[in-house]
Order: sequence, then C-alpha cells, then structure tokens
Amino acid sequence: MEKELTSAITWNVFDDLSDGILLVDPAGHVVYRNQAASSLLGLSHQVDLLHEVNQVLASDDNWSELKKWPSASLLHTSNGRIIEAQSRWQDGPDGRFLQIILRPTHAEPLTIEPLLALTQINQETDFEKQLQALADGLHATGWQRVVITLRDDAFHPTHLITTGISPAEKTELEKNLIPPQAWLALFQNADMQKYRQGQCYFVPAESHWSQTYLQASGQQNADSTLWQAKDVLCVPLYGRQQKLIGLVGLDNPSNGRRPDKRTLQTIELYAQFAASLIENSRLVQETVDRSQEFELLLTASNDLSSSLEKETVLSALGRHMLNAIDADGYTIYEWQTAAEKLVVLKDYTRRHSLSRQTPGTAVPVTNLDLLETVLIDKQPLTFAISKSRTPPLAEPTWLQPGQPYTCALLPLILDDETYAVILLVKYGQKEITHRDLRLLAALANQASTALETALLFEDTYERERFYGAMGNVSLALSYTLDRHAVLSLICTESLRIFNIHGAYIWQLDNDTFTSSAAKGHGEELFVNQFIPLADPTTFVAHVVRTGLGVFLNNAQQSQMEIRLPQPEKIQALLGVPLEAEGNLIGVLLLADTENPHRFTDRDVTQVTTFGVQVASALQNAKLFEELHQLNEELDMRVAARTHELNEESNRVKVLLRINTELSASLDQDRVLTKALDLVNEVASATDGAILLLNQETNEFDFRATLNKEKQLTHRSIPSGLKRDEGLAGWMLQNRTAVIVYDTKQDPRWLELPTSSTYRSVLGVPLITNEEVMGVLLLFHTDPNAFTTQQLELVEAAAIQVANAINNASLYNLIFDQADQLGTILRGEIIQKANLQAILESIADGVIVANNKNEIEIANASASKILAIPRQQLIGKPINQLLGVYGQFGDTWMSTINDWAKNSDQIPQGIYLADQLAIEEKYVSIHLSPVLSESNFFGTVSIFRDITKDVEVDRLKSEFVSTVSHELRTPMTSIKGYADLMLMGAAGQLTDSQIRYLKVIKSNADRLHDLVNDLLNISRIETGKTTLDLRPLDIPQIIEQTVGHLHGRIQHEEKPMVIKTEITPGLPLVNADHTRVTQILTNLVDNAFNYTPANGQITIHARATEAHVYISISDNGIGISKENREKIFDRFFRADDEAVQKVSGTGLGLAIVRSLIEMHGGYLQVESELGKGSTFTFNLPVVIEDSDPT
Amino acid sequence: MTNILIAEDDNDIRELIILTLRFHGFTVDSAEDGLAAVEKAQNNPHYDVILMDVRMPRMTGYQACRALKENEQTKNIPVIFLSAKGQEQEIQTGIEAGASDYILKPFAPDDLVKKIQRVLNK
Repeated sequence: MEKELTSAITWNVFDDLSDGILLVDPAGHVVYRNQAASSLLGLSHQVDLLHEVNQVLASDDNWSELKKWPSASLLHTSNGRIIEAQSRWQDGPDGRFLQIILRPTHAEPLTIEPLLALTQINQETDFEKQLQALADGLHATGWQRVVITLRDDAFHPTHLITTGISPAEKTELEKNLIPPQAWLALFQNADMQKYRQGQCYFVPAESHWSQTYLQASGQQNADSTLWQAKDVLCVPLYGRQQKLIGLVGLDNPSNGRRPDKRTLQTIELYAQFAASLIENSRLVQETVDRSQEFELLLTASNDLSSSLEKETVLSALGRHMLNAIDADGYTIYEWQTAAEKLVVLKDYTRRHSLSRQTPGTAVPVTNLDLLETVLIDKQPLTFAISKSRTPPLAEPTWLQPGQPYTCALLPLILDDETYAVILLVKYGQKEITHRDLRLLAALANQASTALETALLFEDTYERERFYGAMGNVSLALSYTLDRHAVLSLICTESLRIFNIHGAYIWQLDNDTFTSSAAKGHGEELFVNQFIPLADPTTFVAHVVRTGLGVFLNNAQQSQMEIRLPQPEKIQALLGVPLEAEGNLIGVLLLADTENPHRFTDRDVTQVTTFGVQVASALQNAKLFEELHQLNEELDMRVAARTHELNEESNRVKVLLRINTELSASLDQDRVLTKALDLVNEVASATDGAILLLNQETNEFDFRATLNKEKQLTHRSIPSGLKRDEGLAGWMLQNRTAVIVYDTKQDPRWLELPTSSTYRSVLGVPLITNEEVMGVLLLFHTDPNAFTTQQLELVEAAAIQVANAINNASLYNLIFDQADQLGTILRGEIIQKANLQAILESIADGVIVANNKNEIEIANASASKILAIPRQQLIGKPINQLLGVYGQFGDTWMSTINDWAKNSDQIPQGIYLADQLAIEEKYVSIHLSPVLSESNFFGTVSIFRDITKDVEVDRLKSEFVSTVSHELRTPMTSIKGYADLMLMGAAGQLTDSQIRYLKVIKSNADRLHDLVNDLLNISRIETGKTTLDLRPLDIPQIIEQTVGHLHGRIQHEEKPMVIKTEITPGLPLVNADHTRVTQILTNLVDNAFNYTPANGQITIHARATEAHVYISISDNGIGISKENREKIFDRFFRADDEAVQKVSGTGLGLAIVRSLIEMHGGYLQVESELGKGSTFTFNLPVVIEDSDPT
Repeated sequence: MTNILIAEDDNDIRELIILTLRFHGFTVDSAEDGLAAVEKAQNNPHYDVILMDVRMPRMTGYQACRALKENEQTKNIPVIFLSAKGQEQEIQTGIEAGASDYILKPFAPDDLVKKIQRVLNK
C-alpha cells in the first residue's frame, strides 16, 4: 500500500512542476501527462482523458521526431505555440516508455538529470532514506557538501541530513542549529533578501551579511566567479501554502564555481521537488499515523463497546490511552459536581510495585482554575510538572515526590456533563503532543459512549436485579405471616439484595425502639436493646427525624451514636423508617463494615422501596398475630360460651317444664306442689317447702312440701314462724336468695323440732310485683349440699313459681271481677234502654251530631218539632237543615259550623240559646258542644216547641200593660188627693189626719213602684226594652247617683258615709244612659235601704281593657249564703225583719240583672250576713275604631 | 198669670190637677176630651201650657196635640202629656206628636209643677 501511495504522490509532485511531462508507451499512447503539459499543449487537463500522442502533439511529424531518443526539438502545438521538447526512453515497472519534457521555447534549458534521478527516490519508502537520497541527489549534481534541515510547524528542527560532511562536523552542526525564532527571522531579514535569486539565496563571502554573521574575510579570490570558502548557498523548502518546512544548504561545488543562473534554476527546481517530496512523505507519514490511530481507535472502540460493565470500560479506556501515548500510569477520577470533589474511580501504574489508590477516595483539588479548563470548558490539557510547578490536583500516590513528569488531563463527558477526569502521566519530560491529546480525546469520546451504555446497562441491570430481588422478597414474605419468620427473612434478604454486612430492625412499640431482628455483623448481640423514641443522639433518631431514608458514610468519622453491635467496625450505615398506614412502626438499618463510601443516593431509593414492602409485611404479620390471638381468644370464649349455653339450655329446659306445668293449672295448691317437685329435680334436696306469708297473721304458712310423708292435707298449715323470724324472715327482709352451707354455723337458721336434721338450706324469696309473698326452701341433711348454679336455677324457677301463684290469685280476682262486670253490664244495658226510652218519650227534640256535623241521634220529638221525618235526619249533615229554616236558623248553623271548624278553641261551658220561628211555630234551640278534655265530639241540639209559651208571654205582657194602666189611673187619684190634702189644699189637718193621709200615700207609692217594676219586667221579658247605646262617662253617672244618695240621707235623716273610689282616666262605656242610671240607682238604693244609719257605702270603679267594673259595697245587713242566688228571683224578699221593714217589690235585682246582661255584662254579689254586701257589674268599654272608614 | 189648659176625661183626676195647679198659683182652664181642648185652644190661643191626657173620648191626646201643632195659632203652645200609659212606644208617640214633656200618672204635685215651670222657662 505504501508503495502505491508513494507512486501516487510522485505523480502529484509532477503536477506541481512548471515543465510539462508526457509519458508515452511504445504504441504511442499517452500514459501520463502532468498539468503543465496539458497547459502547454492547450488541452484540458483531465487525467482520465489520455490521448494518442499524435493527437496530443497535433502531428505525426512531431511524434516521429520525438521517438528518436534522446532528442530535443521544437514542436508546433495545435494552439500555435512553439515549445521545446526533450525526449528519452525510460524503463519503468510496466515496461519501456518515452518520457517527454515540454518547455516554452523562451525558457532556458536545464539540467534534467538530477531531477530525473529524483523519480528514483520515490521508490524509497522510508522517509529518512528518502531525505538521504535527496541529499545524495544534490551531491550528484555537483555539490560536495549538502545539508538538509527540516523543521516542524513551530520551526523546531526535526531532521538534519548531510552528505559530504563528517559525523563530528554533523554533531557540531546539530548543536548549533538555528533556534526556531531566529530561523524564521533569517528569511525575513532585509539584508538577506538582497541575496535572493528566485527561490535561492546566494550570499557571497564578501557580502556584508557574511562578514557580519559568518566572519567571512571578504574577497579572497580574484576571479569573482569562483566559489569562496565562506560563500553561502541555501534554498528554503516551501511546503503547501508556502509554508517553510526546511532549508537546503550547498557548499563546495565540484566545478569550483559560484552558481550561475541556470544552476540556481536547477537547484530551485530540485528544491521544489524535494519540498514536494518531503511534504508528501510527511503526508504519507501522517496518513500512516492516522491509519494507526484509526486502527487504535477501532481496536479501542471494539474493546470499549464489547463490555457493558463500567469497570471494564474504564479499564479498557485507561489501557488504550496508556498505549496510545506510551504513558506510565493513569488515574480516572469521578467529578462530583455538587461536592466539587474528585473521587478516584480507577488508578493504574505500569510499575506494579507502587501502591495504587483505592476507588472512592476523594482527592483534594489544588488548582481549580486550571482544572476548570477540563471540567467546564471540557478541553483536554497537557503540561509538564517540575519542581517549580504545582499540579492542579493531588498527585497519584505512585508518583515519587519531586519526580518530573508530563501529564495530560482529559474530561470524560457524559450527557454534556463532565463525568470524570482522566489523568495520564508520562515520566520525565517526554512531550505529549496535540496530536496525542486529540487521540486521547477521541478515545475519551468513544469511552463516553461506551460508558453511557455501560452505566445505562448497569443501572438497568441493577434495577432489574433489585426489582427481581424485591419480587422474590415479596413472594417470600407473602408465604409467611409469622412475625419472627418475617423479620428474619427481611434481614436475610437485605443482606442478599444490598450486598451489605449487617441488617437490623428496630421496631417501635410505645415510644421505644426494640431490637427485633438482625442478620450478619453481630446479629447475636442485637437482642434486648432499647432506644427511647425521644433519644435524639442515635442514628435511629436521625432517620426518624429525617422521615426518609438516609445514609451515613464514613461512619467512624461521625459523632452520631450508632447503637449497633460492634459499632467500631461499622464503616457505613443506611437507615429507612418503616411506616404502615402513615404510622412509624420501626427502622431498618443496613451496615457495611468494609467500605466507608458504601452507600449512595440510589441505595437510599432502593432501600426505601424495600422498606415499604418490609413495613407492609411487618404490618401484615402484626395484624395476623393479632388476628391469631383474637382467634384463640374467640375460640376460648366460644368454648366458654358454649358451656354456658349448654348449662343455660338445661336450665331453660327445666324452667320450660316448670313453666309448662305451672301454666297448665290455675289451681294454686297443685301449682305449688308441682313446682316444688320440678325444682327439686335440679336441686336433689332431701326435703323442701313453700312458705307463704299470711297477711292476716303475719306468719308464714306452709303451702307445699316435698316430703310425701308430710303431704299437706289442708291448703295451708301455720308454720309458727313470724314474718321476721328465721331464714324465711331474713329473706323476706333482704329479698335475697341464700344458701346456708351449714345450718350449725349460720345464726339466721332457726332450728325447729321438725327441721333439726337439716344441715344445708337453699332458699329463694318469691317476689311478684315488687312484693315478697313468701319463700321457697330446699333442705338437705348433708352440709354443703347446694351449689350456686342450683341456686341460680331455683331463683329462676322461683320467679315462675311466684308468677304462677300470682296468676292463680289473679285468676280468682279476674273471675270475681268478670262476675261483677257482668252485673254492671246488664245494669248498663237496662239503663241504656231506659235512657233510650226516656229520650224517645220526652217532649223536647234532641239532635246529636258528630264532629263532622252528621246527625247521629234524632228523637221522635225532634222529628215532630222540626216537622222532618226521622229517616231524613239520621246520617244527614245537620247544616242541611239550614235550607229548611232560612235566616231563622242562621245563628244556630253558623255556631255549629264555627265549632266544627275551630274545635280546639271552644270554651268550656259554652252554649247557644236561640229561637226559631218555623211556620206558625216558635221553637227554642239550646245548642251545646260535646267536649271531652277539649276534644270536640259533636253537638247536641235540644228543641222545644214554645209556640204556646210565646203566646202566653204575649198575652201576659198585654195583660200587665193594661192592668198597670188601669191601676195607675185610680192610683193617681188616691195619691194625688192625698198629696193635695197634705199640701193643705183642703184646709188645716189634724195630726191624725196627716198620719192617715201619709199611710195612704205611702201605700199608693208602693203600689206605684210595683206597677212600674212589673211593667219593666214585662217589657224586658217580651223583648220590648231596647237600649240606646252611646258612649257614657261612668264617673258622671256615679256623681249623679251620689247626689241622689245625699238627697235621701238628708230627706230621710239617715246619716251614711258615702265614698267613691274611681280610677282616674276611666274609659267611656258603650251603654244606655237611662238604664245605667236605673241600675246604679237601684243598687245604691238597696245599699242605703239595707244598711243601718251611720253605715258606709263605697262606690268603686276601675277598668280592664274591655270592661269597666263598678262595685257598690256596704257594711249593712248582708245576705245569707242560701239567699245569695235567690235575691235575683222575681218577687223574692228575704224572710228577714230588716228586709221586710223596707218596702220593695222583689223585682229590682231581677230587672237590674236583666238590664246588665242586655248590655253584655254580668252582675255578681259577694256578701256575708251581718257584715255587708258588694254588688259588682261590668259594662263594655267603647271600642275606638282606629280605622277612619 | 200663667194660663194652663187641662184636657182630661176622668173627672176626679181633672179636678185633682186643677186643684193642685191652682194651689200653686196657676190660672187653670179645662176640657173633657181632646177635641174640646183643641177647640178651646183655638178660641183662646193665650194658654201658656196645655196638659193633656192620652186616652180620651172623641179625640185622643195624640191627635189633639197633632192638631194643635198643625194650627198656626196654637202651634207654639207647649203641650205636656199626663198619662197612665208609660210604655216607651207610647211616650215616643207623644213626643213625636209635638209634646214638650210626658208625665206619668200617678204624679207627685211638686214634680208636676217643676216640669210645667221648666217648659215655661224654655
């Protein structure tokens, strides 16, 4: 490959030449032409378009001329130019070919031999040899001493090749090579430029420059064309883009002459060719190097991508880097951005004897500024470290202090972030070139990709491993619910999953953490340990406080109290709180005894996830344990309850039998004996008895016994025990069942001759309705014969027995009562029939309606009075009668409807009395509601045909009117003439005459009063009295009345104290002035009449909201209790001397009361015989209509 | 002097009234029924007061009173009924007929005089 490459490069060199070159095979085919040839011949330069030589050269003549080798001739080209052509046959690898060199005719001929020799150089593959060949080639052109120096980009010398110079002289030369800056300056020196001819510089020894710089002594030879000792001929070698790459120096020409122009041209051409050659060789070298790099990178890439483990990737990276630049050691640091910390990931030195750094060790950064180029700019960096220069970070341990070295620092970028920094170290002052850095950077890039993949894989793998493990744990935990097994499993699995040395569980119970389980490091010591929840110093408390998973690396450096077995051995610690249903139930701790940097945030995440499962499992186990305990308790309780229920069942069976037996009969004696028998089936007593308290004797009677021999012949036998004596008496008092385990020891036991053999007693009181009616006693001849269970049963049975006794008694009672009730019922039936008969036979009509106003009862009289058949009344609504009587029935109906509607507001004692005019008949109605405890049941209407009464009243009224008129007329004469005579109209009268006349007058007055009162009564009763209601001022009327009284006091010479007590601002009343005056006058007249002289009369008036109340009090003779109502009867006058003494008709109070009632008021009397009377009446207050309409 | 005409069919009572009024110093004239009283009054329209019974032959007191009140010459003579008919309706009829007062029989002499004087003073 290299050979082909070299060949290709040679052709390229030809292209750079100004001479045209054609290579033609013997058949005349052009096999090669360079750019210059194409240009000279006026052809487009397309290498692939190779033509026949006659076409190229435009004529056969040209070709035939050139075929004669060697020849030189002038050619006429197709574009009319004349060019010089030299040709000669050459032997090449592919056979013989004609080499034609074309040149414009004006160009000077040159020595082509050295150039042609150069083509041979191309055959050399080694650069050094090529260079030597170049030097040799120049030597061959006639220069005895040739020096070629090559410089790199920074003009540092890289090669020194000589011909014709001794090794010693060469060594001397090497030492004195021009330094880089001076070297460049040399060609920029203005002095030097004067000596430039084309590309060459020829500086004669006599020149100022030579004398200055080479200490030339000036002209030594007369012939100026001869070569001088200090003459300098040099040609700079220009690479691509006119870059200086080296210098050719020539000395001692073989012909001893200074170079002429043609020589210089040749040399220039040669130099050009050499420069091209060098450049191309270098290119080849670079390509080779690149290729090697490529191979290296390819290998590295394979290596790096073949592994999915971070460790392997890092190792491969280190190894390849080391090899790439032939370094002595490397360290890869992880850059922890947040902590600004470098932590050793990988450390290596070729010298195995030296100690390496442990992964995880943090390395101090000593020069962050420098490091930032790598970390932040992400640029590689190289520098040499000597005594005078401090490294940017702590040196690897395997470096000997003070040892100089060169190092490279490279960033390892993952996801645009600096993940790691790689330090490569070369001992001594071996340079690390930019090329090296580029290569290293490429490696780092490749590693980045691989590392990303590895990390991703590692992460995925780790997750998969973790979740796989978690799945297994979950499964395992779900297999068991035993708490200890769960705890143990959790610890074991923790060790396995997290690859640590110890796992511990603290469980929280009542504010104290208890060591519950441990596996691994010191597990046997992790028992009976306690930490109060409140203790703040421990790591457990720290975990609880944080509330999250938390780790403690470098545990030995921490102040925190570890509280695990052998804490001095624990290097790193991780804890997570265990929570179930939001409550802290414990803490899981993981410990590593080897790696102080063991835990990372990821571990926390994983352990937290694990912790959730752990907590859940623990909670489940705890719940299971509780459930288990509950279950056991429940079993025990079920067993106990079953036992109880069995006993209860037996007891219930016995009780049921007792109950059945007892309810089968109501015969008390049979009941008691049977009950005792049944009870004893449980108690197995020797003997037993039921004693009931005889209320009459207050002693206990035997009512039943168990002992057949002592079978009672009579219903009851007195026991002789008083109600407060013996055990029976005690039970009666305490109402408590009792067992006497030994009668000899119990003071309550009263020994009777019949009971001396009994040693145990079981006694139960018989209670019904809170009353102890007796006791049931069971006896046994042995002590301690009875148990509390038997007592309970007998107690229960006793209730039945007591109930049975009670039932039997009740039965008797009910039987008696039923008998009595039967009698009463029969009586009631008869009574009802009687009532019915009475109702039917009475003259008054009765209609009873229910609360829906439906007529339920209507007697024959009702039908007759209302003139409606009874069947049209019963069941009909009472208000249908309205149609029959029109407005006459209005009040009646509206009252009934009103009551039915507002049944809850009917006052007690209300009734309606009204009259109906039915055709020619008058019917009085008395309507009253039927109320019971404010419930409205309906109405009772009683009708009476009062047509005759009304007629009688009318006749009576007419009679009274006529009679009174007819009486008044004669009375007028009697009274008038008596008055006339008393006035003295008939002359002087004797005393006797006066007395007699006065008697006549007085009796005439009495008769007059009687007539007036009769008329009043008559008028009121016939409804002829009407009221002229107007607002009245009561105090004014009282004043008039008082005036009237004072008149009487004076006239009759009967002293009396008159007092008035009138509440100020009394409202007006709505009343008839004449009537009120009549009422008040009547009442004060009565008071005056029936109060002895020097008595007192008080008139009192006060008001309520609706009424004015007027009272007339006296301290007169008073009214007896039996007369208090009678005084309102017509013509009643008390059979009392004091009363009879006063003249009166006995009609006054009847009239007064009627008048008051007509006003809507009432009259009351309070009186005590001999002490006085108070008459009080009321009148309605004027209701002021606040509404102006 | 005050001239009073009395219309009363009962002789005893007519005389009683005459006596009583004369005893009190009045000049008294009398008629035996309503019609006579009306005629007298029309013939001699200088009576100061006419006392009139209600139930009288030929013409009742009510009719007489109305007749007097209808006559231009007699309409200003006050009429006082003096009657045993004391029912409200009867009194009301009298007042409507144009009477100035209504005195019930039997009467007290003082009361009679007081009422006459009260009518006269009006």
